[in-house]
Amino acid sequence: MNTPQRKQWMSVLARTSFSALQSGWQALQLTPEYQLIRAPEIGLAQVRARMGATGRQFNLGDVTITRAVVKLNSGELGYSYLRGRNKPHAELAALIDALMQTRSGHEVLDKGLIAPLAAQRAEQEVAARQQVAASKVDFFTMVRGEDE
Amino acid sequence: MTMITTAFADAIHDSQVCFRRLLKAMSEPGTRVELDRAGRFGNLSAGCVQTLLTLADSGTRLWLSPALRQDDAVLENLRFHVAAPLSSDTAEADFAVLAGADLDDCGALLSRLPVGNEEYPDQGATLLIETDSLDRGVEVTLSGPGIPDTRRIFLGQVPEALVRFLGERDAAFPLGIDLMLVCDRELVAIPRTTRVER
Repeated sequence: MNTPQRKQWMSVLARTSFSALQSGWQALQLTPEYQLIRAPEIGLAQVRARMGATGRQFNLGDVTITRAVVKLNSGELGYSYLRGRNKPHAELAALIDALMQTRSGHEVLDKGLIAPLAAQRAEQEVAARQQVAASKVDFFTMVRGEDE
Repeated sequence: MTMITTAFADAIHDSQVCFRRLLKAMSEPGTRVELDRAGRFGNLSAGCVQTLLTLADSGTRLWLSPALRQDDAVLENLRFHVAAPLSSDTAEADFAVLAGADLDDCGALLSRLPVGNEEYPDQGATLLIETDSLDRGVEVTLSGPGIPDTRRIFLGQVPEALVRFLGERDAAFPLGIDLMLVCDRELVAIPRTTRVER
């Protein structure tokens, strides 16, 4: 299996809003059979950060995390870890992760669900970046000529 | 292909149910309890699986007998669902599982398992033994705390070394190991407080 690729789709599944993921999933009308290996469960993780991305590490705070693992009847294991406490989201994301590992499921889901969601996400990120850039303030010092 | 299978369907409530039954087994030695909330992992019986799911976690070291250590289905599932670090040294195990196939080696195992020390007798190991039956085989009489008078139970086909060990161990109390005999889904406990006679 291609790990970087899987990382990318797992990220899309975890970061897309549940409503968008669910409507995209329902439109595909897939009914795979699976069992829950690890039922969705909620836990806590500590987020650490660096001041200015280069400074010393400090504890930023805690986030809730929901995780799930499902197994398709054909044997593939799907995992999901996402921020928040949405259990149905975790289950659906794990199921899609498992299906993405099957050949038939990969084709359908990559075109029909992951790619559009990833594009949508990229668009939102660009928009957010532009919004931030528009309000950016650059500080600089005027030379006042006092030292002459 | 992965060998990971399902464990408790409802982790919280199923482990609570199993914990309550294990508590009954330990506090009323010789009483049979049934654990019916999860199935087996490979060659590891359902009773052992559920006991480990309920009592063991990432903070308890687990020793498995050779027959179980060679079974990938057992190892993968224990790593995924229980996450207990596997120990290759019997002397530092908190939980030890002896498969039926390795039952003949129990003499060496029993002398190597930690029994705790005077300050911390709770550090003694818990040994799970898979036996072929709890209705036949060696019959022993139990007495002691949690038993009104005496209680007679069958241990199945177990080696003589185990019966001798059980008969001779009360001198070391409060040090010692706690024993659970598992046959499929059924379990009988013989904690260190129980006196065992032929």
